[in-house]
Amino acid sequence: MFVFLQQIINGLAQGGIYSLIAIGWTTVFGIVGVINWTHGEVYMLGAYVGYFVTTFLHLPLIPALLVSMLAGMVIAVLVDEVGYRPLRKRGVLAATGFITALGLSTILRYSASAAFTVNPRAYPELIEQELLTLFRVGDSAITISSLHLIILIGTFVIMVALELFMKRTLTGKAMLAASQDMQTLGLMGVNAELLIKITFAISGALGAAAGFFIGLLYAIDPIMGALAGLKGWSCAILGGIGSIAGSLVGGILLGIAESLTAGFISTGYKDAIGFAIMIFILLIKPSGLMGYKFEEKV
Amino acid sequence: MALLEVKGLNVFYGKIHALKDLSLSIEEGEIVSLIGANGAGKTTLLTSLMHQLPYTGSVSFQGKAIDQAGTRDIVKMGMTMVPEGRRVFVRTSVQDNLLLGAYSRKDKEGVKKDLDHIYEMFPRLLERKNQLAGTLSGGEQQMLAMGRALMSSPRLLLLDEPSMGLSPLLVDQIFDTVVNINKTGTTILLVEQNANQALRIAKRGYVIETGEIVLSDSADKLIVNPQVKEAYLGG
Ligand SMILES: Nc1ncnc2c1ncn2[C@@H]1O[C@H](COP(=O)(O)OP(=O)(O)OP(=O)(O)O)[C@@H](O)[C@H]1O
Ligand SMILES: [Mg+2]
Repeated sequence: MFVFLQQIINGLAQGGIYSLIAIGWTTVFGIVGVINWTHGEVYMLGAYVGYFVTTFLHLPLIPALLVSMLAGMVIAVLVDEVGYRPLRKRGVLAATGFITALGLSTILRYSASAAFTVNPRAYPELIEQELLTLFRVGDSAITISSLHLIILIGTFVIMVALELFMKRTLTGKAMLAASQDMQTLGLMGVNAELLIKITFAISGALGAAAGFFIGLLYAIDPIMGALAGLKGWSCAILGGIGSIAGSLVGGILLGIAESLTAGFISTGYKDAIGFAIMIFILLIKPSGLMGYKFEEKV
Repeated sequence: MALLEVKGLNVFYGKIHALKDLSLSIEEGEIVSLIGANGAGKTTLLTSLMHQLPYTGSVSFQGKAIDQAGTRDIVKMGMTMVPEGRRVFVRTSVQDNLLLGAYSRKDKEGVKKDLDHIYEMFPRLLERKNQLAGTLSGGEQQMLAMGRALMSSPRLLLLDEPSMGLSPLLVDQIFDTVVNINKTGTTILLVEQNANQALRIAKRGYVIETGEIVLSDSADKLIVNPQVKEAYLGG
């Protein structure tokens, strides 16, 4: 029981990171309708920007995170401008966007390998790493690492900001409406292109933040986006594609599942078991945990 | 001067010639009904008037040519469309649906006043303002779609088959609502397959067949026109 609880706590930070990646996927897919495979690369580049500004410019934690998120926004918007917008203008994005996405993802990944070398790099120590006691069960303490705590707090703040933006601003409401029916929203005089750019910016900021947080925990390399991107997309599907809350839950679930697998079975099975659980849940609930369905009304 | 003046409108879907040299005009304050069978081009006409489809020809609204304008400009100038099939945002609350209808407006005070006005006109929407629109009945969704369009404070409202798929009682309600909206000073272009009721509330009517206007007259005359009777009023 004790170990079980401890493993759940250990999985939360990683889970929050998966959630951030997943939300970036799900918003772009929901609104633009493209499976944006470059998202894993935005995550990787966000991690690198974080590495450079902390290592060479000696920026402290929060400014470095913000710069990394800003870079993620710019990169994601550029990806749309260069890769997807020309297809959208000709009305062929749905059919061909996937190929463009895979191509751009590969180009970004190998350009990063060439530019940064494939050697793993580690962030400098930005905050002191220590184990904090959360509470005690008998003689033993349930602990959380200070890094995990920072990541959880950061993730939480970003999520709250996103939630407020989506629920309280008219632009946020228009984004939710755009994911349902862009054509009808157009009738209301909403500028679809602007909304799409905002969507990519948000997606990029979240992906880069996730990359930055991973950099706080582990060494980074140019191909880190491949598996993390795939897992983020899976979490988005698990949560119900298009649903932000679903992506949040999906990410946390995967983080905890992986941590439990690593604790009780073996680290080697971590990736496989995470996917196995997801396949299982989707068999039971194909629309995902929080997928929406309304009957047609007459 | 007509409120809306359409001259020689042509629209193509690839090789399909969907609107052929179509002309019509609408005076301020009127209800004008456009009657036509499935596939005649009614939706195509309304959608191109909102500049969601490219066309050739000339359209002027309030005396100004709007052929170069974007949808946003057109909404701002005061022309709004209620799309066929209602198309409310089902995963969005009733109130947010209404607020999105006012997306192009900057006058917060006016928006708030219009919101109150719409809740007055449709008390059922007020009762359900925090519910997701997808949980509303079909009739309520149609009211929401009309309310959402009215939130842009239009001078001309384009309605695409508002009675579609509703029970006879609800259909009557919807037509009453259209008359009420018109009484508050909004001009209406009403597209319908329900020719009988559409012509009864209208001042004038047009009949469209395969992309062409084939008849245009006062509603009183159209309703007794043998051609119209046979084709659209069940003989
Ligand atoms: N996106 C499209 N691509 C190709 N053809 C289209 C498209 N939309 C409509 N059409 C064609 O244009 C013609 C007019 O269609 P439109 O939807 O305007 O008819 P309508 O009068 O609104 O019919 P209904 O009463 O069934 O709604 C039809 O022949 C239709 O098949
Ligand atoms: Mg139609």
